Amino acid sequence: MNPAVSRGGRRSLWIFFALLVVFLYAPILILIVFSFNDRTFVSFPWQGFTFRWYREFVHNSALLGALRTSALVATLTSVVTVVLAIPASILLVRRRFFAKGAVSGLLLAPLVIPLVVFGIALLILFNTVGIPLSPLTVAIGHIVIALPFAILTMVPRLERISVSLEEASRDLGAGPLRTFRSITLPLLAPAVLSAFLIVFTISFDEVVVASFIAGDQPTFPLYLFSQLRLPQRLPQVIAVAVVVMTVSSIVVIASEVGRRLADRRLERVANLQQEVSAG
Amino acid sequence: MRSELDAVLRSSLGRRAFLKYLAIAGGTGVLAACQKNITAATQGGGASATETRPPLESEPGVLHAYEWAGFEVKPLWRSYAAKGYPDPKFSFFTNTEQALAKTAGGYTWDIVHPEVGYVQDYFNLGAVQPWDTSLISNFPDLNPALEKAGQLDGKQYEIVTDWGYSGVIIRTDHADPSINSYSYLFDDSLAGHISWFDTPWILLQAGLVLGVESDIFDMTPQDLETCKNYCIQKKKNLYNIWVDFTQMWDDVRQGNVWAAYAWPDAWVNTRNDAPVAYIRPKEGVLAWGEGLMLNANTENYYHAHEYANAWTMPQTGLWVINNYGYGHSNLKVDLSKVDPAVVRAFGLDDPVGNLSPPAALMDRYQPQRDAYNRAWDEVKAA
Amino acid sequence: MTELDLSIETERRGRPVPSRRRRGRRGAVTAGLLSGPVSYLLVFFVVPVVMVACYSVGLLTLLPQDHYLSLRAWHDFLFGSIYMGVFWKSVRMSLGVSITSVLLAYPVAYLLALVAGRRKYTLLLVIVAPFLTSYLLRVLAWRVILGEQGVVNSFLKLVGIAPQGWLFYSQFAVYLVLAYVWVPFVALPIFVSLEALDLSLLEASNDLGASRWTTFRRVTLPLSMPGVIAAFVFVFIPTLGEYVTPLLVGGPKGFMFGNGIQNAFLQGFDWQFGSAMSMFLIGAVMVLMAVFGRFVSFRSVSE
Repeated sequence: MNPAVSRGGRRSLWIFFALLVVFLYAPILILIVFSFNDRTFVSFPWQGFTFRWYREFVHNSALLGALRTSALVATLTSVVTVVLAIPASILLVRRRFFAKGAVSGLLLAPLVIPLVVFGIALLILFNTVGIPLSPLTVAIGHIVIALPFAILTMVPRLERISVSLEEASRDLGAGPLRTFRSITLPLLAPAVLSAFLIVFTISFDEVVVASFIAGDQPTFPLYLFSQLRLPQRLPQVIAVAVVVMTVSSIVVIASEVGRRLADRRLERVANLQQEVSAG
Repeated sequence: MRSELDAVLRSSLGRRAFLKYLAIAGGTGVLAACQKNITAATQGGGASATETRPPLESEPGVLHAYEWAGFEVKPLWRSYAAKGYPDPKFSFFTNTEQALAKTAGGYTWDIVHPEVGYVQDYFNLGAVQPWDTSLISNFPDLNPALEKAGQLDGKQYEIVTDWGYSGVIIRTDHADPSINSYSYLFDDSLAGHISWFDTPWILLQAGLVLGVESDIFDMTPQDLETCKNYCIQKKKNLYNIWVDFTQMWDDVRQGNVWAAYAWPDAWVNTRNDAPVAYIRPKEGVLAWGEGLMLNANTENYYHAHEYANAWTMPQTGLWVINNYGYGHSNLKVDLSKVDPAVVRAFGLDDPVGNLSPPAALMDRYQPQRDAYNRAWDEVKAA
Repeated sequence: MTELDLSIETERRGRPVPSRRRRGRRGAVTAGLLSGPVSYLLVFFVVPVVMVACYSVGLLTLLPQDHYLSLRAWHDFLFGSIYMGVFWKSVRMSLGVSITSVLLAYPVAYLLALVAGRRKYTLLLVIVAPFLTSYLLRVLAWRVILGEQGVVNSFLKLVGIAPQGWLFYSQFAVYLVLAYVWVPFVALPIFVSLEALDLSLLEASNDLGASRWTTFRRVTLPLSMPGVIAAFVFVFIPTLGEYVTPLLVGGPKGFMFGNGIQNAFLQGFDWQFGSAMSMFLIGAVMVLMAVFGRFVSFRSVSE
């Protein structure tokens, strides 16, 4: 029996969850429907079923290129951000150090800056230093705005992980790296995954900063915004969005498979924990 | 290994020292940024006009055009491609203000495509140089009313290619076309069904309706105040302030909106679905041109001129009119291949007269853009 | 800025004090590990912010001939403009949206973390996945749902109720779309803090005779507070500068502080004024966070 929830509570929570999923997916459903509508407006009435938009976007190399650029930028951003955020979060939670308040303030400060301003300022900086604009510069900017999100996702988790496990590991003679790898990181894994997800989606959808620091390879949302001048191209963009949605659903299913593998790993960690606490 | 690294870190980079170094590094970066920005801005401005230029054959050849999406398609530069020049490389801006800001931030291109009202801004930034119109064989055929708007001190800084009006689209089942005025956008009898565009130009249109004394592009503070208060007072009549024109078209088509600030393409795209009329108001319709400007430091000077020549061909003009619903500056476009209703609505039969006063007021540089913007913000915040 | 300290010191008092040498080494490791993110932000964040500050007082200007030191923009902004009023409007909107999002997200995070069992990560992905579809397209879709001829209004007409105009191009639409955008993101930090909760604590509480509600109030909620606070910060701060959503769905009343900044930079081409507004926003958030940090003592929720 689950101590967190009563039977009735469980049911209402699931109903609430279902409603929220409907709320989240209603616009997606609309997009899916209209990606087959034979008309350039996203609006009723229904004009007839067509595959035209899908056919057209497959041949639109600029659009596909933009999609690739976004995937690249988002991947790069999420990997680097998470790598930077892990040590920062751990140190913020576990250590006292000089000017800690200032450092934690700095790490969260990028949440504040208006993106237009940041985009322009960063452009001037790149220009000054002589870094040519490319997907890489977009990723550099996205890492800045995503870092606080990653840290804010990991810190609460770390606060809930007991220090004693790590101490026990050290007492048993494991070095700091080994302790990190076999104790801290597995326990932090859910937060790392969450942070990765958040950062990826933020970067994938960010347009304001990107509009200033992208060179001649636009990201997907940037391409989309510029296409707004041309209503004829809007349906294609929607078709692409539907495909992206579909692909991410496949990722969800794949992750279900991945989860089972991960579970087995976590069991191993749990066993290790027991050994540690027993020792 | 690890302890060695630790030792190095400990001895050479204490926390304080480390932070100090970072602060120094950061400060240097800022100073460098200041310096570079100043030098970048003081250069250019046509400085290269007298230099000897390499001939076309020795230019790099791949033009970088910073463009509106949709203006990268080949029909617009077919004759350029036909001469065997390499395809240009395109990058796109999301809107014209963003393009100017990005240029001000140091982004470079060979050719950019702003409205005539921004010619002076690009010039002020030192970003552009004048065209040599003798190298553009189509130039004598271009609409003088438009090309004049692309000049500064008698030099042609912009080859104006395409144009349009900022007039009003109305639903003729709810609004009377014979009123023929910008007053549709403020009319109490259309309350709840008016849609403005998110632009300070609404203030100009209010000025035209009110008949203010001063030049609407450079109003006196009192007149600007009057226009602002008029807009605030009439804001209650709005359905919305549109930002995405496809949504505005749809609202007109569906009958949610009876009068909207609109470009002619709105009429082209809705006329088959709803009873609409495109109004060029009697006060003088606000008109805009846009075209190609040439970077002050371009390495593709002659290629750029060839490209501008392709953009100003009569065939290009025909394609722009028929596909995008914009006007084109070439006066020799074969109008027999354009829908007569479109010719009538745009006034294409007399493009010079229809783009000159009193029929039209051509867009131009607004020296008080900041003041207009703040007045417009006040209208929106009210 | 120094007031903002989200971290919790988990080192316990009773531990033997490490030797000086060990402490020194730990210090070096700390500095080494922190140097990555910190120096990254110094270069790519602090330098741009300092530049914006320079623009706001005319140390940097768009055109070299305008180069002068002046507090004109600051003066105009603080004393002669509508923007302070707009700022408070934005603060109210941010508060409303953050509270709504947290309230919507908490039950979901709770369900996923403590009830859903092994499916939790998959369900988490289900929540986040829609966000790979472009924001702009999702807003377009909301118009189809809530607009005048939209799904909801068509349904209302079908059952004989007049179409509701307040559904779109309204404050309601701004709140709805912003909450829609934030809920999945907000759920994540709450989820990760709840997920680390030791279920035996809840069992113990139940065994001691506390009702589930009391257990939630006295045990679960306090222990998940770090996540809730993180989530709140997540939404509250970025929403203060938000301008796209109000612009697209807010109708005539959609003007926010972020729109003011955007317009000053782009439409007005007045970087000095825009920079002053931006620096004000940055400063104001720092102050708000400091005040906020005072009221919510993070230490009280640690073990």
